Amino acid sequence: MAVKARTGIFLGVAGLTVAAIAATVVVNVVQNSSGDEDVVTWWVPDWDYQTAVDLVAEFERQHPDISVELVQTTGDTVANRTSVALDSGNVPDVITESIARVRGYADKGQLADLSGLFGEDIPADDFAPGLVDSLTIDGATYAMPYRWATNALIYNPELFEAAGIEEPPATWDEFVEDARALTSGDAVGTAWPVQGDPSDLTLRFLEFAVSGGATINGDGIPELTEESSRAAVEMIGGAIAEGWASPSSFELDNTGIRELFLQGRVAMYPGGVFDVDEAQAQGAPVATAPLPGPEGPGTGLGVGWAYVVPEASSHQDDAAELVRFLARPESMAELTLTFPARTSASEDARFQTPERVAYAGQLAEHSVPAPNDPRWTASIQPVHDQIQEVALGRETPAEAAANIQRIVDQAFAE
Amino acid sequence: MKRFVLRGGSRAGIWVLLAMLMFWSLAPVAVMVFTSFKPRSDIFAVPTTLLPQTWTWDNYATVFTDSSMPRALFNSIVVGGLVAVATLIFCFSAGYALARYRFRGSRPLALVILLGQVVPLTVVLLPLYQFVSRLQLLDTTIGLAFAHLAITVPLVTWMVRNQIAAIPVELEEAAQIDGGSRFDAVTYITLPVCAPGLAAAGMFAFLQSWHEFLFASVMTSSTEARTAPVALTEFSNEFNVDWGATMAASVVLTLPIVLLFVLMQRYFVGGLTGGAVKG
Repeated sequence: MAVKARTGIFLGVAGLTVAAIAATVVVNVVQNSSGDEDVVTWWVPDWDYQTAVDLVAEFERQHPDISVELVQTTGDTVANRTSVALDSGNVPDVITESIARVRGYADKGQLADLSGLFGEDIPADDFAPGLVDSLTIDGATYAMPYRWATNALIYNPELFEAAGIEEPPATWDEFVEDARALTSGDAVGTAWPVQGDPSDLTLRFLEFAVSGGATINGDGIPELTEESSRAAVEMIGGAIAEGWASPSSFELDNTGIRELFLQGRVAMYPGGVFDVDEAQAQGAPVATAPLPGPEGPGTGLGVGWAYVVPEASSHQDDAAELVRFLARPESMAELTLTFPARTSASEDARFQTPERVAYAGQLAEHSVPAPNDPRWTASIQPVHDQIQEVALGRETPAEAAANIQRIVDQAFAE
Repeated sequence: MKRFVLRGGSRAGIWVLLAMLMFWSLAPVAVMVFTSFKPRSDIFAVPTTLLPQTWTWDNYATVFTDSSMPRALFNSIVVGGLVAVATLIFCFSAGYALARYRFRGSRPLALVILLGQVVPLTVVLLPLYQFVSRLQLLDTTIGLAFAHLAITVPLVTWMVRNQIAAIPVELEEAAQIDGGSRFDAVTYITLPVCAPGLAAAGMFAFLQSWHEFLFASVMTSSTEARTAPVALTEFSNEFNVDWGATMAASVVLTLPIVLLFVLMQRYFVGGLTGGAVKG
C-alpha cells in the first residue's frame, strides 16, 4: 500500500528527529568516554577561576605527568552540585567547598582523609587557631582550608567625629551608647542583615552569643545558654525595635548594609574585609576596629573555603598532589580575597594594610571557627525567625532566647 | 433602578478586584524592569523610588559583554527546543495510544504516568543525575534536555491524551473506510484537529525547560552547557550581589517568553482547555 505524502513527511520527520537525538547521544557518549584517564578534575568557583587557570598552568609545568581540568561552579550552585555528585558517586577529584559544609560530607564518609598532607611542608599549627581541628574527625582531617575570614567592626570616622565620639566602641555598652548617639537625621548607628541568606544574621547572633559566654565545641556544635542568647538577641532584634539599628534592616542583606554605609546612612557594622576594600575603592570614609565584646574585644566567627577530595575520586594521589600545591603559602595568597588560612601566607603585603590590622588581630586572637554541624545548619532558619520576632516587637529577647534554646536542643537531640 | 445600581456596584467591585490582582502581579515585574535601568547609587537610594533618577544601559552592557549570559541564552533556546520537540514526539505517541487503544492496565498506566507530576523534583534529582551521568552526558545541553523530559512528559502526555480523546474516533474510521491507513488517519485527521493543543503542549514544555533551575544547576557547569537561570547566579558572588545586572539579566530572560506567549496566547489557552469537556 502506497504511503500518502503527508504521512510520509510526518513519519520521516519523526524518524529523523529520533535518529538525530540518538546520534547526538552516541557521539557524546563516545567523545566523553574516550577522555584522558589521567586528568584531575577540579571544581572551582567563578571568583577563583582566572587565578586558578594560572596556578594550574604552573602546577602542570611542575608535574608534567598530571593534567588538570577546571570546571566552574557558582556560589549559589556549588552546594547542590557537590551534594548530588557525592551522593551519586560520580565525582570530580578536587572540590573547592565552604568549610561550613565539610563536616556534613565527612559524616557520610564521602571525603578522603587528607591528614597525610599535613607535616613539615604544611604544618597544622601554621593555620588559623582551631581551623584544622574543626575539620578533623576521629583523627582524620577531611579538608585543606585555604581562605579564612571573620568580621571586624567597620565604621565611618567622619560620622563618629560629627557625633563627638573619639574612639570606636570597645565594649557592648559603648557600642549601644555610640549607636544611639550616631542615630540622627538620615544616619543610624548600625543595621543588621535580616533579609537575604538567614545564615548572615545568625552568624552575627552567634558572634554576640559566643562573646557573651556561649561556646562552640570541638565537634562544631554551638553550646548556647539562654543568657548568652538573650544578650545576643537584645543586641540585634532589640536594637531594631528600639531604633538605633536601622528599621530598614528587614529589607537589607549584607550588600544593602554596605551600600547604606557607603552613603553615610549606617555609621558602623560588623562586616568582612571585602567591604573595606569596596569602601576604599569608592573613596568612602572607612576605618576598622576589633569587634566589641561585653567587657573587651568580642569574638568573631571564622568562615572560609577549603579543598576537599571525594572518597570516590579515582585519582586520589594526583588530587592530593594538586591540593599540596594549592596549600603552598604563595598559592593561598593568590587565591584569597580575604585572608589566607595559613599564617605564613598572611605575610604577603596585600594582607598588611592598616585597615586589615583589626581583622588580622581578630583572626589571630579573638575568633573561633563557625559551627559546622549539619544539625546547626538545619536550625538556622528558625533561629533567624526568633530574632526577627524580637525586631518586630512580637517577642521579648528572653522569650526568643528560650525558644532558640528549645530549637537547638531539639535539633541536637534528634 | 435599585437593580441597576446593584449591578453597577458589583461590576465596579469586580474591576477593583481585578485591578488589585493586576497590581499584585505586575508590581514585582515593574520593580525588576525599572531597577534594571538604575545605576548602583539609585538602587540603594533612600527614600526608595520606583523610577530611576538617572537612566542607564550599563547593567545591560554588563549582562551582554561581561558575563556568560549571551551563551547561556543560546543554550536555553537549544535545550528548550530539544525538550519541546522530543516531548511532542514522545507524548503524542503515548497520548494517542492511551486515548485510542484499549488494553489491560491502560488506565493504571495512565495514572502512573501522571504520578511523575506529583513527585518533587528533588526526589528524582539523584536518579536522573546518575542516569545522565551513565550516558556520559553530564554538562551537555542534550543531557539537560533528557532531565527536563522528566518534568514535561507526564503532564503533556495527559494533555495530549485528553486532546485526542475529545476528537471523535469516527473521523479516523471514516478516513480508514476511504482506504487510508491508521497513519493516514492520524496525519490527515487527528494531527490537524489537535494542532492548537500540540502547539500549547510544545510551548508548555519549552517554558518548563526555559525557567528550570534545579536540574540545570546540578547537571551543567561549563559555559558551553550552562543555561540562563544558572547564569543568573553569576551576578551574585561570595561577598556581593550586583542587583542592577541581576535585574537586567532577569528582563532579558523574561522578554522572549513574554513575546512568545503574546504571539501564541490564542493557541495556548485553547490548547490547555481543549478536551476538558467532551460533548
